[in-house]
Amino acid sequence: MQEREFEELLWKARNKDKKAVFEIIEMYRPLLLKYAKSNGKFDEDLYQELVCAVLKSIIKFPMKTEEHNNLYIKY
Amino acid sequence: MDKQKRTTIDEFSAYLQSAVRNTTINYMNDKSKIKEHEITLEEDLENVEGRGIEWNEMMEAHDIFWGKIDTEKLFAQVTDNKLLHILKSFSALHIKVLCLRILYEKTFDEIGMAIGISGKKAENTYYNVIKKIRRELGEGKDAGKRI
Repeated sequence: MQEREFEELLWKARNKDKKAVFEIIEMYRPLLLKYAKSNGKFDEDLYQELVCAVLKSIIKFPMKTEEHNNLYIKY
Repeated sequence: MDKQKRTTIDEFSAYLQSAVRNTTINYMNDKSKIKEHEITLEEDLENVEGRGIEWNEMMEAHDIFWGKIDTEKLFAQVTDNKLLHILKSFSALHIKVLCLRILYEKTFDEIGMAIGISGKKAENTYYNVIKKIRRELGEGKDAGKRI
């Protein structure tokens, strides 16, 4: 994925675009699956917690002002 | 320009990775705390069984306090018919004193409190009853051991 595309995707996700949110979660699924293991077994509850962490990160991630402004003008 | 763009996605990935790592650590800590305070069914049952004895003692004390003394328990333990006949001829007060002293192993003060007389009177009553039993049985000092 191109950087610009990702920034747009992130921006859309921050603006509660469900499709964009799902796409970001899909992008980081391997990372989530890697961490969602408890005693070597997949932990469904932990996975859900990690998905929540992704959602929080989308909102809290400090985007650079210049990019933020450009995207704000665009959308 | 390319470098800066790459940095954005890398930054988000790093941000997300630390968030995910922290969430995992917190989740594991919470889980281990819960496990520390968890009681298995076996442990729970052991506690209940252990407390069962305390409960029975408490209920027995409660019954004694309210004057509910099971004199039948005393009669059930007597194997000698003659002795049983003598015991049944005693008044309720005498039987209660005997019961509390022999079955419940109470002190004379406790017996006095349970049936509303002084400790000294309870003691006198008890020894009078024992003396009467020995006299009725027409035996020596060993007669009391049948109870």
